[in-house]
Amino acid sequence: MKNKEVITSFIIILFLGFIFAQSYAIFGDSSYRTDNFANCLQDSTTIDAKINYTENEIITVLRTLNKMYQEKVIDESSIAPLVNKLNRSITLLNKAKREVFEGNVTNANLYVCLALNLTQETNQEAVLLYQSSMQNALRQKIIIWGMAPIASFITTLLAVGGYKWYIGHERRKILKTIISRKRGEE
Amino acid sequence: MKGNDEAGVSLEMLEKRILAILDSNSKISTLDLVRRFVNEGIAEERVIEAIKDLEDRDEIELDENFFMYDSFLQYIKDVDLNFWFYFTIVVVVGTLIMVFVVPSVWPFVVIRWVFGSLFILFLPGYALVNALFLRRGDLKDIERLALSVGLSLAITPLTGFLLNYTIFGIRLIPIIASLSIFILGMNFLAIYRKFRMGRSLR
Amino acid sequence: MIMFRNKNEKKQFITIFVMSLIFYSTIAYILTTPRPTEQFFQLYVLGSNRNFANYYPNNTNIIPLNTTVNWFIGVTNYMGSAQFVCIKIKLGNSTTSPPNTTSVTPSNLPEISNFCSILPNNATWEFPFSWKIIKIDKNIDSLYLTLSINGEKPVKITEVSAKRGTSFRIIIELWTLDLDSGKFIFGWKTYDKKEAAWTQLWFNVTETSIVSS
Repeated sequence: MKNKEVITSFIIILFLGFIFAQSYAIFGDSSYRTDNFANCLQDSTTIDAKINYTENEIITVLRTLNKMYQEKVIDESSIAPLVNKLNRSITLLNKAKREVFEGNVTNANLYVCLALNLTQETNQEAVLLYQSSMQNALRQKIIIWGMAPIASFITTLLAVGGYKWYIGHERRKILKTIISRKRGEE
Repeated sequence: MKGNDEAGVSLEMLEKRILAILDSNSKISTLDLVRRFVNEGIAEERVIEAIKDLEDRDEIELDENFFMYDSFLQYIKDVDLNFWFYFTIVVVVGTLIMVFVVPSVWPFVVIRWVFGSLFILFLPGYALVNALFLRRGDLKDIERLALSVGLSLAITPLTGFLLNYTIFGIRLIPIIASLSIFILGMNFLAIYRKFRMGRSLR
Repeated sequence: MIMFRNKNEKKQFITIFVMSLIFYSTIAYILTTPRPTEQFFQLYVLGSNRNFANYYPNNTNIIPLNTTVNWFIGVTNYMGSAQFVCIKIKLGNSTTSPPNTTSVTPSNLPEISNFCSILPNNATWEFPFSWKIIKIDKNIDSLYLTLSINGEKPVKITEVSAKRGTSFRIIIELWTLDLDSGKFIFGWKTYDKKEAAWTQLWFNVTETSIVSS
């Protein structure tokens, strides 16, 4: 009986631990997001400075994406969601600029912080994507270059073996012929 | 420089002896001729080298020995002699498998390129050349190769041109079907004509 | 281990192996090295039916007051990288200098609207562009326009006018973000060369369109 209780408790603890781990994975990041966003809202820096900062962050993400294009390690399907997020950021930033123009500082602050948060999130994803893409590309390069000597060896074996077979084949064909003196041109 | 073999006979000497034998016998089986010299201690490779040399200089003719075959089935079964026939069939079947069965993904696509190139750029002409030039001595190997490629470059676009006037159009399946029919048709025609010609020479 | 019957066979094997290695290494190099490609943008304007027709209402380029003109502006990115693109809309007339693609300089007219987006490589961005003449002001025989773009707040254009309202033009310029300088430039940079794309559509306005204020 005692053993059963121990095992049941152990299973329940494991299950709770699993749930906690999953929730941390789901919500853990959002606590980071909430912190960043909250910090931005409370930050006393001017809206214009925040807008400039966000614009620079967007340029940083673009540079990361273009590094992937330059190294030809791009996966177009993975880039599209990042670009969509950046475009949403730009829309929020434009809204912020309009609010500034109309004098609504609170709204402008909200929009610019949303834009900054989204941009920084996108930046993290872009960096991770770049790192995994570079690893994949390196792996591919190693495989391709590694196959060159193997392919050469196989080709050589086939060529040498093939030539030997051809000589034997010619010999066998000739032995199955009838030989005669060639008549002159009529 | 024509050297001597173990029995101390130079290639030139060997060739003269072969010609002398042929002068007294109008036709002789190559196998018998080679055996004669092998029994004297001359290497088989040496005799075959001499025969090839004489053939290149157009002094002798080699024809398929149809006395060895009683029927067309027996003749067609000789893979060594009719390697070209089976090679053509294998490449056609291989091409069909690569196009319709194997997915066109790396690395299989490389094999598809190889088969496809042979199918379009070599086989149509090769099959036609074999059907037209039946005897071994009609064309040298290099001439046969060049004609095969040249004729293939003519046959393939002509096939496309004709398909354009049919309901099938110039699409993958009609092109593969028409070229396969042409190649296999010419192939079977060639082997049958060779056998018939050989029988008539017996 | 491979057994060779004689030195010739060994030489043959090594020769063929070296030649194959050179051949396959060349192929590996081609496969692993990115090739330089032509870099450019495609800019176009479509009519109200999203084709190269029906640019003007009633098929006339005399635009009445408060009549919406519907176009679609499209940009395709063939630069081989993600690009931050801005389309700038300007109003010109027959005397104002248009953009110059040789010297890659934009027109010096003020911008009345802009549309910006980030485009991945090989992507097309097509967006609706509608404009309406809200008000026409007259000074002697020159007409000045107040335009509303995509239903937004009207913009009064005082720098550009047209005599008797003839030969106004909407100029559409393509600007891109230069990542090196962090600033938007007219056109784009490609392999240390600058190129540009722009387009324009002409229209007229008649005096009869003016509502006396």
